[in-house]
Amino acid sequence: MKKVLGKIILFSLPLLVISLGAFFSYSDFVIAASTASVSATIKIEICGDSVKDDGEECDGSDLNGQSCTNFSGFTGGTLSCSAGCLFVTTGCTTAVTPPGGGGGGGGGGGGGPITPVITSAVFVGRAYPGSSVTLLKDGQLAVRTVAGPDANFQMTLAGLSAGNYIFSLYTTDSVGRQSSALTFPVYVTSGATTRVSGIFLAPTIAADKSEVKHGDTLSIFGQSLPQSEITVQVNSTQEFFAKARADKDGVYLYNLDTAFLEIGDHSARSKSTVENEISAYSDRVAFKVGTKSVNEVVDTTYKKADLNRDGSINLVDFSVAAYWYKRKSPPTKYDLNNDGKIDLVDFSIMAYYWTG
Amino acid sequence: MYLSKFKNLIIIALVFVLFPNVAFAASLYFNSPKTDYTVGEQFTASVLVDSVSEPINAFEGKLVFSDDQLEVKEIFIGNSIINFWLDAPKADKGEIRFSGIVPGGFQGDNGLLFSAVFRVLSTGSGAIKFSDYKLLLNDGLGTMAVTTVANLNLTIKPLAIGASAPDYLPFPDGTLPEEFTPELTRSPEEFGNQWFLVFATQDKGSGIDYYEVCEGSQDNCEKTDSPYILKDQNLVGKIFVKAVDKRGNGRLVVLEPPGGLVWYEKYQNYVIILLVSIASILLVLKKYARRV
Repeated sequence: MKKVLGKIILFSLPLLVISLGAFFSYSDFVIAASTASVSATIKIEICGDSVKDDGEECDGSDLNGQSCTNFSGFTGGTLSCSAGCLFVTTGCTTAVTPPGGGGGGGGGGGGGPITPVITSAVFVGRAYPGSSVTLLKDGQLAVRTVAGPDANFQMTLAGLSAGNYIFSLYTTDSVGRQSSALTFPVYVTSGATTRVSGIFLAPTIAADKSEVKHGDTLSIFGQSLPQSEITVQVNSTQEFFAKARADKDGVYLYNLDTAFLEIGDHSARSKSTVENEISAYSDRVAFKVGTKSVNEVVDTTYKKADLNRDGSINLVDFSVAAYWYKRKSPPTKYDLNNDGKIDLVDFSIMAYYWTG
Repeated sequence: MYLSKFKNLIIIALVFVLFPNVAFAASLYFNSPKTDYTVGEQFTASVLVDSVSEPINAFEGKLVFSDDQLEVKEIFIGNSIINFWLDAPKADKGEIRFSGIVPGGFQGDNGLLFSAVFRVLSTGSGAIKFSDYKLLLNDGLGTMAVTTVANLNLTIKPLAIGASAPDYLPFPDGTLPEEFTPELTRSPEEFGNQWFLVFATQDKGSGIDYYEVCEGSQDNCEKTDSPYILKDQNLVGKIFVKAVDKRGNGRLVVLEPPGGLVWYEKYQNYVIILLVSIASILLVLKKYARRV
């Protein structure tokens, strides 16, 4: 009996505390919690696992119920599937009646050349028209490409090993602003092509002022997919959402009337929606509502994390900072949060601003 | 056991009440085939992280255990979500310390940090516990994530008389570390403008064990970490960088020196020597023939 009672208390007490917490917590938290669940998704398919996925014509022995007769000009033969999961019709035949009597059977085919095992990954997604898209593999620059005029991009990474990878993608808009990175783990299968599709990179975001006079308008702008719907999330005491539409170049602008905001610190971020697909959220842009207006100030933390001032935050910066980690009297420039020491927090800040 | 679960639940509940704007962020836990072992047995414990609601980009902590009871045989970092280690996990007197970062952050479940192979030494109740752990959010500020941990509790029995402990089969790894490109660089702001090398790669099997840099020839090597300040600042002679995994598979990268090769590394010099030698021999033979 005691045991049962103990179990009831064990599970009911935390639930009671959570319920009370939820009851007494602020309403804005509830709003935030309900919206935070909306997240961007990507699709991972493996070409080489003998299962045909949506982005593939076929996969190994899985020919999606197709045969040579489904292809015009062929009446028989053997349809096969390439290593890239596309149909191969070279084994298909046409019904040509031989002019004379039947000839002797052909000799058996010799063993074909051994196909090298290629382990690769393909990344397909959307950025902005003509924007530069960067792919990082385990934190290091792997491929850079340019999105087409329709904002679509595709990049292939070969020479991989089977195993877990952390891939990151980001893009740079027409004025050089960098989007937030979309980072995700992927298990790459040996001898197969892993296809990651549905990548929808976040919009860039900026504001025209770092401080805005209460009642004045703050312009929030950036770039995303052309004609997409932009949702701007303003984080204030009472969080709210506003809509804007990107133009044919993907540029968007939202004029925020600050008369509704309280005096103090605020931030905003944006995401893009098109055809029921949602991008990842942009970085946050911070601003203050006060008694005067101050034009936009560049985020200096980003520049500070670029320790060797080469325009990139990468392994070189990590290595030199790691050299001073736990050493006595390190130079102050490595102390990114100005707390007088070089510790994990400084490396976390560097990892956030990482460009590869 | 119940007390530990109860404590975790209370902590989670309090976090929700006291910090309503902080989403429940992350948990650290173990994956181990079982919790009951016999003396002499070896087992692998993998350290995993879940962080579904918020991305984490920096990890730090240590595993604590009794070194009278457990001996660390091997540690593997292959397939870890951590891309760059500050402290690669290393066993020392009943502790395994670790710290590292994931640029862009890790968001998901079952993220592997590393695996350790333990050998059981003595009987009784034992545990491998998380201590001094810190997980930081990928928010540009290094905000500490609310983290719960689940320690690994063990029951260790004596080996039955006449029985022998099950054999541990170390997993094979015949794959080389991944290709990489070391970067030779210098900056007036770093190391007094001296040339230095930075390098990092991954090994998806057993994980990178160490790096070696050789200057001039492969007879002149030294185990090192990135960054490596070059001894020869004139950059004469090739530079060899080797990444070696825990099973001894090595990936060698050779850098041609910007300062030029030393004379014996230039094949043209051998051609010249050969031509001069042939010409000398011919000359000698010609003189000899005249005399005769």
